[in-house]
Amino acid sequence: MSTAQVKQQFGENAAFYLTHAPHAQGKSLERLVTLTEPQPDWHVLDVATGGGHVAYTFAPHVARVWATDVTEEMLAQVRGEAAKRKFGNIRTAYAKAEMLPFEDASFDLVTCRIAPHHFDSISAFLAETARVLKPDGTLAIVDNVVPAGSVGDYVNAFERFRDPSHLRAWTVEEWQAALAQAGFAIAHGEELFKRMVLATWANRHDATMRAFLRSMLTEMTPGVAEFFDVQDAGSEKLSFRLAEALFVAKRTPAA
Amino acid sequence: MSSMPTARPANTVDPKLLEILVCPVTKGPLEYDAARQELISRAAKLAYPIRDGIPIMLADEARRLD
Repeated sequence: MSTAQVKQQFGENAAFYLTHAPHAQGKSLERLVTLTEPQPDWHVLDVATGGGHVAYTFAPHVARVWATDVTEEMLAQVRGEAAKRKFGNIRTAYAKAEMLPFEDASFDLVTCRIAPHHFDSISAFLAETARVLKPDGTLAIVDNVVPAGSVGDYVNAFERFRDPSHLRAWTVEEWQAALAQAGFAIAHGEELFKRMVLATWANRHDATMRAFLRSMLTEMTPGVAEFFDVQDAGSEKLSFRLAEALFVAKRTPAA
Repeated sequence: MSSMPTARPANTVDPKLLEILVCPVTKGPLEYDAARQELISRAAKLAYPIRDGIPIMLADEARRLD
C-alpha cells in the first residue's frame, strides 16, 4: 500500500487556528472538495456532521447529501441552515456512526471530519462506511492524530481532560491498518499541524482546570514537548500544536 | 435536486426523502407511518420516531412493537 504523506505546517497567517474556527474554515473544506472531485449525480453521506459545514460545502456540487449526527439539536440547526441556504438536497438523520441506517451501496462519497476520535468504535464505523459505499466509492476522513506510544497516550489524556467526549485519537499507522482492514485503498494522505491558543481552547473550563491543563503543557517528557511545541509559555498567549490527518480512500471492489 | 415542499406541515417529513433509509439494526426495510410520524421496522419490532422532520434512527430511542 502506497501512502503519500505530506507534512505541512501552517504558515504565519494560520498560526492562530482556533479550535472552533477550523470547523467552519474554508481552506480545509475546499481541500476536501478538490481531493474528492464530487460529481453532479453523486449521493454523499456526511457522518457526524456537527455544524454541517461539510454538508453545505458539498451540497452545491452533488445530487444529495445526507448529514447524520447523534445530537438532535445540531441536526435541527443543520436542517434550518440548509433551508435558509436553499439547499433542498440536504437530508438529516439521527444515527450512530457505527450503525448507519442506510441501504448497502447507497453513496458515492462518505465524509467524516474531525469526529472519529469521539466514536465508540472507529473500526465499526469503517465497516459500516464500506457497506453503504458503492463498490468504487470514496471515503474522505479528517481527524486528529497522535504519535505512537506514550507520547500519543499523553496527548489523548490532555485532550480528554478538556473534552470528556474525546475518546481516543488514533495514530496515522492505526488509520492505515484499519482502512486496509475495512477494504479501503488509500489514494491520498496528508498530515498537518494546527496551532491552538490554550486560553481559547480551554475557555469552557474554570480557572482550576485551565491551570491544570497549562501544567500538563509545562511538565512534559522531551517527546511530548517536541509534539506540542509550546510557544509563549508563561503568557496568556501560550499556544501548542495538535496534529490532524486527512485520508482519501477508495473502497476496493472486493470488499 | 428536490426543493422543499410547501404543502406539508413543517414538522413532518416528505416520505420520498426517506427512500434509502433502512433499520440500523436489521438493515431491513422501513414502513412510513405518516399519522404517527414513525418509521417501522417489522423485523426488529421497532418504531423509530421522526421528530421535527428528523428520523431518529437509534434503537434506544425507538418504540417497541408487540
